[in-house]
Amino acid sequence: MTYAGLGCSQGYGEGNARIIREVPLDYSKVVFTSVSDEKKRLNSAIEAFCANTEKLVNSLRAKTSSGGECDILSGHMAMIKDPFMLGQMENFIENGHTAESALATVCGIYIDMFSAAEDDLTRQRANDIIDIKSRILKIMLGVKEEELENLPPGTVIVAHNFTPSMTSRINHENIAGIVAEKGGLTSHSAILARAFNIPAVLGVEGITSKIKSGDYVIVDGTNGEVHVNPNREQKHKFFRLKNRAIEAQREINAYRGKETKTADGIKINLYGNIGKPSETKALIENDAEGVGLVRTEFLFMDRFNIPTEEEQYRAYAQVIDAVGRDKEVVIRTLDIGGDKDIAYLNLKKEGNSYLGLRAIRYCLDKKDIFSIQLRAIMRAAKKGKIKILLPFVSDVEEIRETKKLIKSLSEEMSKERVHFSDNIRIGTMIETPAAVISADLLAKEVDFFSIGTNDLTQYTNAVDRGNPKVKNYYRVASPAVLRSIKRVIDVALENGIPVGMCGEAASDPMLIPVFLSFGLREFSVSPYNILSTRKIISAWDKKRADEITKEVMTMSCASEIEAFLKKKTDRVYGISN
Amino acid sequence: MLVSKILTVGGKEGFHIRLADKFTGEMMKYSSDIKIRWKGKEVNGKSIMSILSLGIRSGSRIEIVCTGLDETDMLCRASSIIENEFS
Repeated sequence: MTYAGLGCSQGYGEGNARIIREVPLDYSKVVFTSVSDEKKRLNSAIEAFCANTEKLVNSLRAKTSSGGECDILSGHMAMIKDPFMLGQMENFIENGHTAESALATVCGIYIDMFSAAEDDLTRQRANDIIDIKSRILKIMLGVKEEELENLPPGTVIVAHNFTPSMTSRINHENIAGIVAEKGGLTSHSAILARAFNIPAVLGVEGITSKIKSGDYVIVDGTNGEVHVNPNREQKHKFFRLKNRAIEAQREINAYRGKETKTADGIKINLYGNIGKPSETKALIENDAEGVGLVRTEFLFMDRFNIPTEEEQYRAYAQVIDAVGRDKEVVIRTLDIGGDKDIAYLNLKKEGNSYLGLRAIRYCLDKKDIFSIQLRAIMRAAKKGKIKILLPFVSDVEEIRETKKLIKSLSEEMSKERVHFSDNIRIGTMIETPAAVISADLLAKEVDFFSIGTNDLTQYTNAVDRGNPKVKNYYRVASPAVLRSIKRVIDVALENGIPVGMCGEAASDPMLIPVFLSFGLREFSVSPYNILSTRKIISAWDKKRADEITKEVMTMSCASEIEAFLKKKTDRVYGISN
Repeated sequence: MLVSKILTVGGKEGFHIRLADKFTGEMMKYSSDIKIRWKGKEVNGKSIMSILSLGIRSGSRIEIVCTGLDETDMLCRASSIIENEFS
């Protein structure tokens, strides 16, 4: 039998099921003694709970490298020590409740409150209180916790709710997978499973009554499936998937340190996109040949005021230092508005924020903020090969106005005798239909183009990419978007300016041959997709890419194009269905 | 008397456990009462569970209200934690 759930921790695991049943914690027979006695029992149980948890935190710290997992359990101690909540429990005791009943009732109130919260993270925290409550009740009632420390190798844990305290008690090397009825992607159990690299499928309704301890179970954390006592065919498929995943990873790793080029030797620039400075590390580890997009919004987020010129300068310089002075770094100026809000800028609510005062429009409206950023970039440009990229451009005038501002800033900085460079290439994002249609005019004003496929698809197909109801209209492989991309590349080549692509489509295995055939020679992708993109590019030669693309361009709708591309590319990548 | 201030919660995770723990620990040092108001709800600012139950997200505007003998000092400390301690 196969059951579906949420794949919350990727990977494939197999082994024998061990059902962890929740012991019913019945305290109805406990007799109330006296107020002071009940209070004493409550407090000593909480103390014992904290001492146990402290031990778990220490053993967990020894098992994992990151501190985040330990914080979850330390948080449990902080929560139960809340004097306000403790006061509520003591109140119940004063009104004749036993320590157990007081604890269960008050915890129950908070479980309900947390479960009713709007925010998913808070709802998941209700599970933490359930965990706390049952662990303290077990201490009071003298019920032993389930044996989890010595499970044999190859165990698949199946539980109603896999709690954080359970996760920290398992011998993770012996656990092949986790299956639970409760929990989601943001639940603490999911976070811990990912930290330990254990495949997990959560939210599988009624699974504890469908599996028996000892059943052979396959946990497919990648696709969110649980196979119980699979037949030969299912087993076969599983091993194929598992081996393919291992093989794919090995093959991808083989592309580290290699040049990016097509099968027939066309050299491609393969860059990485970063959204925060910490991602520079992943960029280098994954062998990026440059930084095709630095999203500067991160500098403005998680704080209460605009970052100073010095702070911004240091952040840009840090990226250059990390990747090397000889590598290109494309810095995109503040792309704010649309779905991205920053509280302290007090952006006015707009009826249609995607068509409002966003990105370059905002910056040109607030030249003081824009100037600080431009000055910081010009100073950093002294250190390395920086390019400036302007987002959301729809009119040539926006480029001219920015250049004028840069000129006046460089005069100002010369007078101040600040070290800077104004020999910076300035490019524009192509992400509005206006920019596509007037690409020939923009090409005369800028030094390079960068195609942002996410927004370009949204604006070309007039589809809100955050709205699941219209998900079907958000397709890069639509004739309108592909024609737009082709036009932009054609114009760039005619005008002799470089053109790159930095949207998600740049790492899409199905679309890469089409872009190669269009003449795209610069791809900028997420750091984690660099090696796989290099591998995909190397699978294509111009002749084959041209053949497919020629046919794609005669097709009239996205579904037709997608089906055709899937068939053709699967063949090249050796995927048989 | 009563003093109050409206603040914006920064950080990636909003008013998360670690911050709430630190915040309530500090507030406990004052004798005044403290309330946090958000989206029509009001909770005790010395109670970590009450604060967490609100699920205050990053970017939210919250109101802090202090009443008591050391209310001004308390409000000052409360806002400095919210303004500086988010990470």
